[in-house]
Amino acid sequence: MNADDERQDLPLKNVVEAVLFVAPDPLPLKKLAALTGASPDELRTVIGELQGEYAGRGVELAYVGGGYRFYSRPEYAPWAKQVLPIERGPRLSRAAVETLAIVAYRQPLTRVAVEEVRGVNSDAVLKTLLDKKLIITDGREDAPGRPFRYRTTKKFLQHFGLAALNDLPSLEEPETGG
Amino acid sequence: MTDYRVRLPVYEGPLDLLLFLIQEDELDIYDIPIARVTEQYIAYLELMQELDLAVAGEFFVMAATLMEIKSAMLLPRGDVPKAEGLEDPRALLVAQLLEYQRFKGAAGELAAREAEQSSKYPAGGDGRFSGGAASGESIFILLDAFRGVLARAPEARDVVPGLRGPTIEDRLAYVRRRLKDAGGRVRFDALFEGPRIVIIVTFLALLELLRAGECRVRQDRTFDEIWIYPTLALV
Repeated sequence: MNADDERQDLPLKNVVEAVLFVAPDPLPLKKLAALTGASPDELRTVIGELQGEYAGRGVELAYVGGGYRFYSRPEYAPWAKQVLPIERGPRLSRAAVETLAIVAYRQPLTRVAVEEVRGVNSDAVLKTLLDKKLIITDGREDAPGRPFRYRTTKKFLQHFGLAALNDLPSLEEPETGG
Repeated sequence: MTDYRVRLPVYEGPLDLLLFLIQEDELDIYDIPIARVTEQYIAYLELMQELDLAVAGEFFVMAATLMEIKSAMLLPRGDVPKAEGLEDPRALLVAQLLEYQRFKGAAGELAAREAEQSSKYPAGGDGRFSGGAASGESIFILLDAFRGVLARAPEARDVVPGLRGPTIEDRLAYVRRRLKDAGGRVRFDALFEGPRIVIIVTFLALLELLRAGECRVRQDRTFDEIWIYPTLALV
């Protein structure tokens, strides 16, 4: 019996569970398919089973930023954070989240287009977002000065726990108060 | 005021301030009482200048725009057909405010998603970034509360001559100590005591600590007390 035969004997669900357990980033379906040789439909089935089995447990299998990943559930954060070697950084500033929201809904767009909505210079905040790799440049606008256009990254989706761009909160009625 | 000049940046823009003024007084965004809002806007702008905050040039452009709209409102518009909504001098500004408010709302929802996601710890290590301070609340909420504190403060002339003025370093140490001693949160207005100059420098020190991410501000509901929370670094 060769190694390939042995691999085929192992349940696909367990293989998927094992690779998701150790992966340092969310794994897209495509990558799982390449790793296991299984079809996307087969993978979706076993992932659905896994998600069912992990319901009510301390971890969950989530689809975030275009891929699957295990996360501890939010209610266990008080314990989870005690065992992490590095203190997690503070969250993004209001200006940063606001700018990201504009980029996310209007991408790709230029700095000037961001500033038209915000009504204030956004050079520094865009630079910060670029440094954090939450946005990247996406070509240049066909306009005088050929300014850069920006779009959000997968890291942006992961940071906000979004499955994909169409998972963004809806942009309809303005919020009041608060 | 040169001895404690720190030029703290204000990240919010003029639209933030206008929305803040409109929401605070529960004004109708479609029918903004422009004279009243202009007056309040300029009062905030003056306070920010008095504190020597690094206010973006756009704040002054907006002040000019507001005054322009205010004078346009005084012109008789009897001949204008009523159906022409664009003839209202406020129309452009209102459209801009509404558009901005939509994104602010979306940003609020994104921030909530961020908060939830940040309490989920991924398998296979944490690739998240660090750094970049979150202020928690708008600086205008702080400025609003600070106006109250200043109004109750003794007049400037009670500074004892010959006494060394407060430095930003002294007041940074003071705010840090207060947060540490409290072992938790400190009420915003409880931070301020003594002469006016001390109060002003203490406020600037607080802004500096917020900027550096050493503490956060939280006001859970409008008109509730404002609290300062140390971040983990301080405890």
